[in-house]
Amino acid sequence: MNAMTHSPAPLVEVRNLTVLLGGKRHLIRPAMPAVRAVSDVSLTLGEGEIVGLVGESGCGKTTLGRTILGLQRESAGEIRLEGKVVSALAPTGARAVRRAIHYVHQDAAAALDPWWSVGRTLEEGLVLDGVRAAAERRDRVASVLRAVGLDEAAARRYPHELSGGQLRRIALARILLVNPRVVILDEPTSGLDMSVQATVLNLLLDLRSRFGLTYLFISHDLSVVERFCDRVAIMYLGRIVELAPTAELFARPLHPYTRALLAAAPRLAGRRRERGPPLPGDPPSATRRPPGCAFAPRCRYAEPACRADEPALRPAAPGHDAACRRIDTMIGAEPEAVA
Amino acid sequence: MLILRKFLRDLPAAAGLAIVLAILLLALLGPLIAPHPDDIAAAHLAARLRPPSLAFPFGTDDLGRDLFSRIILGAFGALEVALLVVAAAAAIGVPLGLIAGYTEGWPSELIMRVTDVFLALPQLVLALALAQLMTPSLQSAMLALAVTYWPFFTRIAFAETRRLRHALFVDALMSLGAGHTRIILAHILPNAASALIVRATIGLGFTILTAATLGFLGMGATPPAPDWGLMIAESRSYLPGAWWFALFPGLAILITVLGFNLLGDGLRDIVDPRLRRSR
Amino acid sequence: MSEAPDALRIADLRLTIRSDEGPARVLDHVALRLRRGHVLGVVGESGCGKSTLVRAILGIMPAGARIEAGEILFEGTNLLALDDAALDRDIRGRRIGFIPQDPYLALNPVFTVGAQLMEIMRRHAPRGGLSGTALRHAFRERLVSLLRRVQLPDPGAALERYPHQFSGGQRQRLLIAAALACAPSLVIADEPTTALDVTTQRQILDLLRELVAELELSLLFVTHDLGVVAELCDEITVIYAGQTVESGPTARVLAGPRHPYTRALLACHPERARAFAGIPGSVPSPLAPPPGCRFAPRCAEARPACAARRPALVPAGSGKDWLADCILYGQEAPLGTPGR
Repeated sequence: MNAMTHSPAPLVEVRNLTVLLGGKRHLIRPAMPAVRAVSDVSLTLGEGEIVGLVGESGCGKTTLGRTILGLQRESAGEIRLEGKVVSALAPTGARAVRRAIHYVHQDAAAALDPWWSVGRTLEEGLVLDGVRAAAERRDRVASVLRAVGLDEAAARRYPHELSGGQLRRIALARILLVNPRVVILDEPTSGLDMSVQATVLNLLLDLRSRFGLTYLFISHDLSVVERFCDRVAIMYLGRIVELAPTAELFARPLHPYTRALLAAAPRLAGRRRERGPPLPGDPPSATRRPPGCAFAPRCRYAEPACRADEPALRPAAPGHDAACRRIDTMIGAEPEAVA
Repeated sequence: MLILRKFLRDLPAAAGLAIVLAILLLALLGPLIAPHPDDIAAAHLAARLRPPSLAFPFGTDDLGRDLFSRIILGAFGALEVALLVVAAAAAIGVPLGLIAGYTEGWPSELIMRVTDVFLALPQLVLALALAQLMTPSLQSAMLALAVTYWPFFTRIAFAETRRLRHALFVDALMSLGAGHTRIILAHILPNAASALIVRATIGLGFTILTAATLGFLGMGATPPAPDWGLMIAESRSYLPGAWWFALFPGLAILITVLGFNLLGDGLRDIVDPRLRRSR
Repeated sequence: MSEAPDALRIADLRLTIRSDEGPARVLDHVALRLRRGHVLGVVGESGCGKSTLVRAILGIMPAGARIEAGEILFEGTNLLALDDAALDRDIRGRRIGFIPQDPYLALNPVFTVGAQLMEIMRRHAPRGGLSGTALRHAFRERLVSLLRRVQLPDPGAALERYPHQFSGGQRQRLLIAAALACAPSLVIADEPTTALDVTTQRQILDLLRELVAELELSLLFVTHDLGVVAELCDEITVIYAGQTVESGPTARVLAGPRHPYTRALLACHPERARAFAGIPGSVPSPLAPPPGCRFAPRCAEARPACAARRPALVPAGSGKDWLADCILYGQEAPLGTPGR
């Protein structure tokens, strides 16, 4: 069973997606060199799935999310929605054909116009969808507010009067009003208190079953991802380096970066068995890509072949893909990293 | 009302507001308040150059007209000029700034470089030039002022629009399918409005001062208009004897401009969307 | 029993902040105890007052803040009895170091890192009888050795660079070096790893653990991340809505929390939660706090007496170090009693 396909036919299919940022020419100023934010990424989202996208700052997960959404144009590769090709379009056109895909921003407060009341912001989505009757809009806003666990009176408030948790619900309400099928959640729990985080996650699960949603869950919080996602993709410097069902990935991480990441995350229950020294250095910058495998400079298993060319994402175990040429030797030689 | 309370706590701002309201009142009710409302045109040569007294609190001018009344009556003219100039400047400057800020590439560059050129024009020199071309009048002065003031609005509108275009909520709107016009008019403009209102308020004061200067130079209002700058010009031959003739119009200008500046500064501190409250 | 006084001991601290909408009772009978050489984690959700607590200890409170009652004993000295000049001269930066939250905001972008660190030394470090060039030299040597100890590569050159030339993790190391510049005995860290990536956070936490052991520091670590507390802190103090609700050895508190709030909080953690469910209700505003125990309105085990309860930490588990402020537990033996 290939970890990339999910029967039945996937809802969203991303094939060999590459996104280059910058590099535009200006009239007077010289162009800055283009940056490979996303490099040859392939991913599928099956209906009803929750796929986690994990990585540190600069790994390109937000760019990947925005490209799948359509606000960022891809430089190469293909995106399919329900089997139809929806890529190779400018942002306005892309959004028009990908209306089933929506995005919930990391900073829920900043995603709302501070001068507009929350209710008016919610109604705007319906206005843009062509709902003329004001009464109908009001009713639908009231009903969606209830669906996300807020009081109807919340519609009269302004963004700065609401708490972080409430703002996240508003963000969810806003896209629920326009009937999404795929929701890209960008760090939905970051900055939230533990208790609020739990409520938001509960709400997300509830909405998924009620409205038949599919999630792309972008996060750096591994303990949340472990509990919430069906499959997980680990990103490093624009590439997916490991992709597997959640339980499998956390029990048997194969890629050295995944192992370092899992070992680094603080845990309530005490440390994961395999620790080793912490990963040296800093997360890399996409403006200075190392040759060959992007992780080689920090990898303790790296050998000269690793710096020659980039390893492709290949099945390394049943249902489990990894982009590393040293996995066979590592699995053989070292005790497994176990949670 | 949180806004009012916060505002009143700022003493200079409250003072500015009081002054502006007073000037507004004088402008609107001038003819009713002034003790000698006909002194716009009439002349009472018998009573010329009288020092301040109970009958004439600010004294009389060289044609025997009551200075107190003329100053009150002059408020209307001052405000009228200021409002027309600022409105015209905003009507030109703001749309240009919005477009320049929202688009990228050469349209935006072009607008901003043209703005820079106009910014370089000295107001008074242009007013003098226009006065030569047309006849020296309040109209030529207003034209010169409007033409040299619009760049200020453009720069502010440009800066705000640029900042807001990259704001996350604009991103969210685009993903929901909002068109550019809608985003600019319904979302960016209200958020930029606060900075623009502050600039407009300060601009009102600034324009009054410049208009008075032009009046003083004879390039603005013409006699017998009760223009404050004109009054100071007329007083020159009678100084230092008839000190009241120059002092009170000068004070009127000073206090008015100060009031607008203080109000503008106060507004800058309070126009914060976070002070909006649900009812 | 003559033992050295605790690094930090706070008893019955009450703090109110005047605001447009009335007095906000931000801290109410806060108590904590940090033993010498230990690491104490102060845990609480947003709005619980932990940042205000840190500011109260350092004496840098916002305008309108007033300490209503209580004492803050730093190695036996009551910091609240000192005036700002004394605090600035002897305590802040010299005997108490501070590591702020956001490494991106805490450094001035316009000055070199060396200039900023030198300024700290000039203001707070003991002169040792030197002056002029000799003093500058001594300071510089100390800074270089500090940067080396926080594992910054090429310390001499680093001093000549500007903050933007460092990564987030490196900047946090700079701030740690700044906190340690004058060899303090107590270091207060306010969420120092919240803004960092997971792998960088690991490096910083390991570094802090090493430094605590090597320099015999006492560390007060404020955070909302229970996982970090589990790994780094010897003891934990939990704060809810300005009140200390539980305090004790980390491992035991996390394994079997006594206070209903601590229990509810741990039940929300992804590692423990059976199903995702938050805590019903919301944190009360300090402008209108509930009477008595502030958690009572949301507590599953609340009784009528809770609203009338005067805050008091009582023993809740084995050993006299495990305390909880809850009607469910033991006889009155409040931490707030001075001399204990």
